[in-house]
Formats: sequence, C-alpha cells, structure tokens
Amino acid sequence: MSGLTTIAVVLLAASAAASYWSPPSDPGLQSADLSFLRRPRPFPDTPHLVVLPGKRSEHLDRALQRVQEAAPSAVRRGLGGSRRFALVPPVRQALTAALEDEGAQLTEMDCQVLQHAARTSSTCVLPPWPVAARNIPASSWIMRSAARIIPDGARWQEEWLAEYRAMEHRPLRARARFLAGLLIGALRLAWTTRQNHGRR
Amino acid sequence: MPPFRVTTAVRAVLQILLEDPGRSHYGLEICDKAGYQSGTVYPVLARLETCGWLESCWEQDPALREGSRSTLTRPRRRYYRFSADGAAAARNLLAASPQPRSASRWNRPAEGEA
Repeated sequence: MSGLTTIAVVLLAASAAASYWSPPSDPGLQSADLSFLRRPRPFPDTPHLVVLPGKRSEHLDRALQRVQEAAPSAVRRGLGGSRRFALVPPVRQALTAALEDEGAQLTEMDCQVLQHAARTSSTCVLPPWPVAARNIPASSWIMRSAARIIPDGARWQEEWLAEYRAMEHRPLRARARFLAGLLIGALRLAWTTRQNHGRR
Repeated sequence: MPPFRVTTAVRAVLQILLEDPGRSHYGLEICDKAGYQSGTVYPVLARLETCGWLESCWEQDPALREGSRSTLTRPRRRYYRFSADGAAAARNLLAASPQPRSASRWNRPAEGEA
C-alpha cells in the first residue's frame, strides 16, 4: 500500500466532495499527485470511512485507529437518513494528536501523508450527500470565494470558518459585517500573501 | 524600519497584542478589541506573521490529547502570538514611529488639563 493510499483511509468524504476540494495548504505538497482525491467515490453506498486491511506498522495502525474512533461523532445524518458530513474538526484533530504522539515512529512518507490529511481534510466544507442536491450556505460561499484568490487560501478559509461559527450567537448584522470585511479585505490579503510567496 | 507600512490598523493590532504579549490571540478577538473590520485585521496579521513578528498555530483541543472525543463544535481557530523578538520589535516601533495625526489629535490633552 503506497503512502498516498493511506490518505484515502483518513480523508473520509473529501474525495466525495469533489468540487469542494481545496489544494493542499502546504506548498511543498501542492505538486504531489493528489488528483485521485478529486475523483468522485466509485461506490457511493460504501461507508465513508474505509480502513484498508493489513497493517503497515503498529504506529500507523494505532494512529488510524484513533482517527477512526473520532469519525463517528463527525458523521451526521440529514433528512431521510442521507449521510451528511460535518466531519472535519474531530477527525483532523485526532489526526494531529495522533501525529504528535506517533509521528516519531512513523516513516517520513507516512508522516507527510498524515500531516497533509490533517491540514487539508478540515478545509473541505463537506456538503450533504448527494453533492448535486446540496444547499450551500451563503456564508460558506462568500468565504470560499474570498479564499480562492489568496495563495494558501485553504488556511484562511478554515480560520474564517472557525471565527464565523463562533459568531453564531451574535446578531446577523455583525456576522454580515464580518463576511463583508472578508470579501473586501481578500484582495489586500491576496496581495500581501502573494508578495510573500514571491519572496520565498 | 519594519518591512511594512505602519498604518493605524497595524498600530492598533500591535497595541492589542502588546497588552499581553505572552498570550495567544485569535483573529476575531483582535477585530473586536481593535475596532477594525476583519478585512483590515487579517491582512495586518498576515503581514506581521510574514516578517516574523508573529507566530500562528491552530487551536488544540485538550480532550483529544486525553484520548477522549473532541469537544469542539466548530473548526479550530488560528491563534497568533509574538515571536521571540517580535514583542520587543513592536514596542520599539510603537515608541519610535509618530502617532498618526488623527490619533494624536484625539489623544492630545484638553486645554487647561496639563
């Protein structure tokens, strides 16, 4: 089993949400061949979390086990029992924590793959299943649009999403102002981050 | 000279962070305290992070470290804090650069007060 296959184990629905897939926030991994993640899942009725048989190593197995344990709390069911994913924080955090504990024992490739999954799986805003019937909230659309013009936009989108979700108790006006600010400031942020990428 | 333009927003963000340089702050908190919109604060944070004055990291969920399920109901926040020499550089900058005209007008003591 190649290292990149492992990502399929932990990325859950990321591959299902093809149009939601954001490029890796780690520039070093942007050139990696991750095209398989954009493919629609071949078997829509199979569980979203698939653990491939066989152990690569004790430590990787333990790390994946922890991720698997975190996954059920992330799975939500929508109307009519359709699968709905809000996967991301628990799974990603399980990945990060597992990496911190087991990382030293894993191979470099395994580490890289898991780190990539920890960074990027959270940045997929996962829609209700099926993708065609999803109803995207305007806030997600605005944040995604703003992040799209920014290099390393996945990181910013994730950060804004966290802040926006924390604003749930605030009045609509405050939330709208926050979103409007992001849209207006996205150009400036894109300019700043592009300059930095240029310098690197 | 810092490698960026010192605007009133930059000053405000630095002042907020300098109130407690050892603590990590998240973006929304800085927006609220500084009174600037998200579209102003995030580019400032990006600029300060790029020049090495700030460091950022994702929020850690302590529940996961203990092996239990995550208690977070939202995505993780990004936290910003001063780097090792960032706080000193920020203090120097604020001390050295003149107050913006509008700010100095407001901060000027009223006649007869001094």
